[in-house]
Amino acid sequence: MAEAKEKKVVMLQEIYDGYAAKAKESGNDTEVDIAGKHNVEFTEDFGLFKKGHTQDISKVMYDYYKANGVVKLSKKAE
Amino acid sequence: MFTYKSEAQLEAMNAGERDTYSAEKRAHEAEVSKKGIEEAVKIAREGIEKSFDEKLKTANEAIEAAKTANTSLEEIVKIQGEELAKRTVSGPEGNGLAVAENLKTQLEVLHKATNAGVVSEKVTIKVADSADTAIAVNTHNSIAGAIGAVGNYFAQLIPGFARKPVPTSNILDYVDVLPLDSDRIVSISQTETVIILVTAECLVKPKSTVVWAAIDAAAEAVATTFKTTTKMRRFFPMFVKVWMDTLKDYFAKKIPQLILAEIRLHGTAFTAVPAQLTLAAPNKWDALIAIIASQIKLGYSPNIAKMSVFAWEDMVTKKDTTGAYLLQNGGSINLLNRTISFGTVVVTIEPDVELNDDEIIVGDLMMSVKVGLDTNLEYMEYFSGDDGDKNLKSHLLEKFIAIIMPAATRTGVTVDTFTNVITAITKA
Repeated sequence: MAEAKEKKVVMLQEIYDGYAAKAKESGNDTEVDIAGKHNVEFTEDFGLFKKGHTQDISKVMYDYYKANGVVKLSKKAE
Repeated sequence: MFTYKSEAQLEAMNAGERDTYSAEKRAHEAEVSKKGIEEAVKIAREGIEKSFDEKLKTANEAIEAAKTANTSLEEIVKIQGEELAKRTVSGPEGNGLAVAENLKTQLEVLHKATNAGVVSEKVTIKVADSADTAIAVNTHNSIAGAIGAVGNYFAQLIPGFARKPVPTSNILDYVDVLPLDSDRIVSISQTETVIILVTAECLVKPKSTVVWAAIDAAAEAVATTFKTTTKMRRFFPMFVKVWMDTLKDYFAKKIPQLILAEIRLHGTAFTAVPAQLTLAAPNKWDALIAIIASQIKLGYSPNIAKMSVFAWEDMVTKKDTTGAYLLQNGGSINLLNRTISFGTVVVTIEPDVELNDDEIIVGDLMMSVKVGLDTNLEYMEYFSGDDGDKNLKSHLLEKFIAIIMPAATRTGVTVDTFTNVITAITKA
């Protein structure tokens, strides 16, 4: 039974590692927006979130949840 | 049959005959006199009897009519009594309760509007109608002979009006409040930080831009209106006063709501930083520390953390495996003294009734939120439409407020949910 969902969870640090890898590749620091807000809707349960929950989150958190495939931008996304 | 004699015949009589004649004459005259009296009495009695019968008949008819009229009156009194009973508010308290009932309805409307955050609410009080009803209620009590009304005179009235306190945010204690003397406030930002740079070594550097940008916010009116009748102002001035006191609560509720709305609009969401600590089963304390750590790493110095009442409840009631309360972690988090020490930064933490159930706001609000608050509370009375014809007068309470979050400091305020932060710092 337990073998059914062995989905690997992407960790936040891996998101930053991705930014760093991009910087290394391009030779320039990777710019990450911290002021913008992304209104997302959770497409499945994740962490303490329940499917269908919507809220504003930052770019880093958006990349984190997106990497885990649990959110989509809701219609009023910036 | 006796007959009267002439003078000549009397002259011709002797003494004996004359005596006999005199005796007969007296007897005759006595007889005639008796019959006359009897006749006169008979006529008089008949007249009296006839008159008496007529008057008796008239009197009887009058009595019958009066009986009928009395029945109608009783019916009217009965109907009036029933009508008044229907209009009785409940019990013998009379006009005081009737007016209180009316005020209760109005206060409920106001309370609902205040909670809903409606900027301008118009409420009309019809105290005049209630006072009319109240008088009828007292009349009813007199008719019914109720002793309740008498008993009420001996009751002791508690001064003032009991009303539920309006929960308000104390956000004004933590933002920069300035007297508003112009129709707008302007802020000039020298630098603005909206992005961070992530190096190839996975280090973060806040990137600040010199912008010299000016942003402004217009003074917006926060207003509420209500109407009073002439009768209310003339005879119930204390209710007008009570009403205005109640409306002051509206400002105490509404202004913090507007400030929090601005903070939510321009604050930023939680941004985890590289190497942000992850925990096996983080709780709200951990989330709070994570936000503070993130802000300090990005170059800010938060000094206030406001959270929902239920988040506070959760933190206060956290227990260890033995059931002992975890009110503090040994020093750095001191929930009872409302502080978190994070190196050189000391953050005040407290619950706020206006925050959403899962919401948390962390930052230096004194630096980041500028509130221009009109020192005047404008008051105006006026007639609107055909109010004058209806004996109504409008009362307006108005205050101006302008709120601004300078661009330079917006990213120093985090507005997010515990759920988001806890999910971010949970070790998979």
